[in-house]
Amino acid sequence: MSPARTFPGGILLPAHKHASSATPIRTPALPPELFLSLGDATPLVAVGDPVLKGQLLAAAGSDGLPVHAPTSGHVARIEFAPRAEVPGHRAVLIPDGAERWCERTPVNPATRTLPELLAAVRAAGIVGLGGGGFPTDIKLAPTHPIDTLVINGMECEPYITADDRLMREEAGAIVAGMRLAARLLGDPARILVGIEDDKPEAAAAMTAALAVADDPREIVIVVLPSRYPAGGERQLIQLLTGRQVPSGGLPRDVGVVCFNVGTLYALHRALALDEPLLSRIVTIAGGACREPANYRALLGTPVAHLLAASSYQPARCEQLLLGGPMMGIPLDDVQAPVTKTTHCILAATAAELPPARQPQPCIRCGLCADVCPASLLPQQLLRHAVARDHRQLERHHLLDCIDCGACAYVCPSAIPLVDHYRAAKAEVRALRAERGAADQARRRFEAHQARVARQSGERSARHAGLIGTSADHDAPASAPVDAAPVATDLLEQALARAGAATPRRAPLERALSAAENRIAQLETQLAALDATATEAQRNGLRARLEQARLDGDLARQRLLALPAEPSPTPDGNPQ
Amino acid sequence: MITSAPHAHSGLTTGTVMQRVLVAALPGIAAMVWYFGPGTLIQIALAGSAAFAAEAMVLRLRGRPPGPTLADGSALVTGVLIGIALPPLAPWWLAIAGSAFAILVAKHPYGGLGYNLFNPAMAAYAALLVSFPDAMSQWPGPRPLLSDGTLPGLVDSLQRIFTGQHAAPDGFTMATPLDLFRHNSGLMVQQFQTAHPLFARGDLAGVGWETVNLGFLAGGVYLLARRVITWHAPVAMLAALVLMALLCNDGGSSASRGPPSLHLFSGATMLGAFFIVTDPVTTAASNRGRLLCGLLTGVLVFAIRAWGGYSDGVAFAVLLMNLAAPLIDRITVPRAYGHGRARQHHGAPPE
Ligand code: SF4
Ligand code: SF4
Repeated sequence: MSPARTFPGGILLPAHKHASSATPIRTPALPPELFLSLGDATPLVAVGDPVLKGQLLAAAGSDGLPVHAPTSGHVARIEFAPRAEVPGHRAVLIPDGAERWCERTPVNPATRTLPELLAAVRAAGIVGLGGGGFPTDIKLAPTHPIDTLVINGMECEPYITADDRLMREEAGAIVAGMRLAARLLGDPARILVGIEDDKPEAAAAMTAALAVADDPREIVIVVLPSRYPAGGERQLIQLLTGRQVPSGGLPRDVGVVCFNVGTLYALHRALALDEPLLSRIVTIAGGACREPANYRALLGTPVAHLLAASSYQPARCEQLLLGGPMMGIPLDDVQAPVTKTTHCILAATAAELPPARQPQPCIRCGLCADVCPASLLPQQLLRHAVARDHRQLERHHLLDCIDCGACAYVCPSAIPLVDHYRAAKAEVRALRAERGAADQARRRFEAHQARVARQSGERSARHAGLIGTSADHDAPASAPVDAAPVATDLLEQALARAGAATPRRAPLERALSAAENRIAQLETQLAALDATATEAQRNGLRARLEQARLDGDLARQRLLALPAEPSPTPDGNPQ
Repeated sequence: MITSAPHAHSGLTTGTVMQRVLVAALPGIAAMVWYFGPGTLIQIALAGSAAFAAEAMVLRLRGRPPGPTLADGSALVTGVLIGIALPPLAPWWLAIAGSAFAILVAKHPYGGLGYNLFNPAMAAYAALLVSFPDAMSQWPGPRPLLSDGTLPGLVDSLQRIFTGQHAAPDGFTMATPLDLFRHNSGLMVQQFQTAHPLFARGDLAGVGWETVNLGFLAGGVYLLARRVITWHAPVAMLAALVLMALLCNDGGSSASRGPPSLHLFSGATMLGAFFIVTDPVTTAASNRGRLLCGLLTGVLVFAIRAWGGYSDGVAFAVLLMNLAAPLIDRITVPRAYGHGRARQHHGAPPE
């Protein structure tokens, strides 16, 4: 196919995949209780109600995602879950073990119209299962013409083998989902499937399934060398198409949409079998599990239940992570439920993931810059983040950092670089938001001043008996009457607040409130759209809403992770 | 402390990086010892331990735990580089003064490792050269050119270094090839090369000196292979030197500044190219910036050698470029992902 393309940087990581990729996907026993986060969705069932598998428990809340019963049973409680990823209410379902389905009405997707299919995807509650969690129906209704559909079967992070196993076992369903996605996207000219070269079985299974499917389009399976983070959406697009997603943009801006293989599988189940998204594949891995494996886990299954099925030995576990070793987050509650974005639980021993060393000063060796897939200069970002030099941070494209952690992985001084960047990003975003707010305030204030000036002008004119003769109504509405100093003050105050506050907590709180404001605004806008609004407008708003939510969630998580008292920066960098 | 992603680490430490630098210096040091006597080893030991002691002292004064910082070996590397740069039989206090200057003046007032503006070893070398020009220019002749037994052995060297018989040139000191070219008293290059024993056997850049340079070149190749350094700065510096020498080459007249081979393999060229301009702390951060830094260093080295007041210019060129590095950093921010002229055929991003 196309000439060998590449992305800059990247690292070779020990894969640690064989332990969990050798065994077929297991179906765990039903857990005694399932915990389903409702967010702000209104429950459609009451405590004590019997429910059937697949039954709608709550209509879509502000995240646009409905909640279904993953199995049959009854609703035992609806309670507040303070420790959940997104604190909110959750339903606790006690399975009856019968797995009785609600009524399903599978229709051959080939006979349905695109809006019908899209509605079905939305109703099934499908999100990107690769980890992004972005609602799939939004991606499937792009605002730009799409010429390339990229399928992500890379799974480049160590230990994780959920997609590998799924491709080996369900390649046919994945290919069916892929063709459905292609149809919804207006039949892009080519479909490129990226699979890392450490998964030959998966690549073979996909090739075989494609041969059976016999599609006239250009569908190519591209086996790519294993290199972290080759499975990052932006890196994969660059590898397969040579295109770069513009900074701050989305893949569709360059005519590409990218789906993870798990998402396509879910898409097929939803459209061909009328099954909402009720389960997902979760890798349980790490040396503290005697039987690492993949599980087809019902949403809401407590992580502890899956760990137990893999003979988890807590005493040997040094770090329990939600996700892989590079991007995972520490999991302190083993009762936390599997969500739509849980792809791996890693129970690593001290030998596998030794505790972080004490950070040393940056020696500017540049190893970090050599491995950065976004072509950033991590050492300069660090320097400017420590100095809180936001102008330089923006000049060095801090916001284009994808948090992949390659830089911190190679840093000989063991500096927690990603940590610095996340905090700095929150600050930069908050500052941008404040700048926006200050601008708005200034405009409002200027308009107000102009109005006051005009009115007082009218009054004095009236006193002078001149009303009606002056041309004062033609004065520009934004005449800056003494407004400038006030506006500068506002800006300065904003900057001073951002600069002088306690490190970390304040910027995060600001980022959170900025995100919350944005969410509220966008929600009203979305609700205010009338029937004449195009799908594109609607989707644009939804995408921005999703981004705002992600920002908010990130800030909230980081806030929760902070120690009670703001601590000095944890690294040894002198200021 | 919050444990944050990534939770895995390559296991590479600053100490390992510095160890590799020290290992890489070995071939060049060995060549120096063979051609110029064991004095170099004594200088390295003196300068190395002085740097180590100075670092420990400053850390204590600054209230830092000295353990991890000393273990990273950066002070040791500074000391070793000073030891290599000193004339093998220089008096003992030169090495100690140099290391003390490097750590106490050039490094820590700026914030210590990672924050210093100047390469500490080169700053110290330049300070010594300016303050003690005589003592700093007494190089022995290379072993093959001296009659047997003239080059001091270990015991003799120790005595000379510690008892201060440094001043009298007594039969074994000899001008370096770069010195010779500065003071070539009207000879054509050809004549001059046949006339002087340093070049008599067809050596391009002087007996001994070229072997020492080859030794440091070998170390540089090792550092490149271990990915301790990138090729940009050294290749650019060497290329600029060759280019300048070619441009100024007048076919070998008596005013010649020396052929490219002389500039490549004499003086501190290879040491500078692979151990000094590659010092990550004081050079530019991006690869493009390093190319530029290396290029300008090469031009400056040649300019100082050809038209300046000193026979070698590596230290001064490096220090000048250290000053320019922050500026170069500002103009060479690399193009990040998504900021390119890459195809964006479907219009601008949303918003
Ligand atoms: S941040 Fe780490 S890897 Fe990057 S230059 Fe500094 S010490 Fe090297
Ligand atoms: S975490 Fe950010 S800065 Fe570090 S390598 Fe990844 S993209 Fe580059």
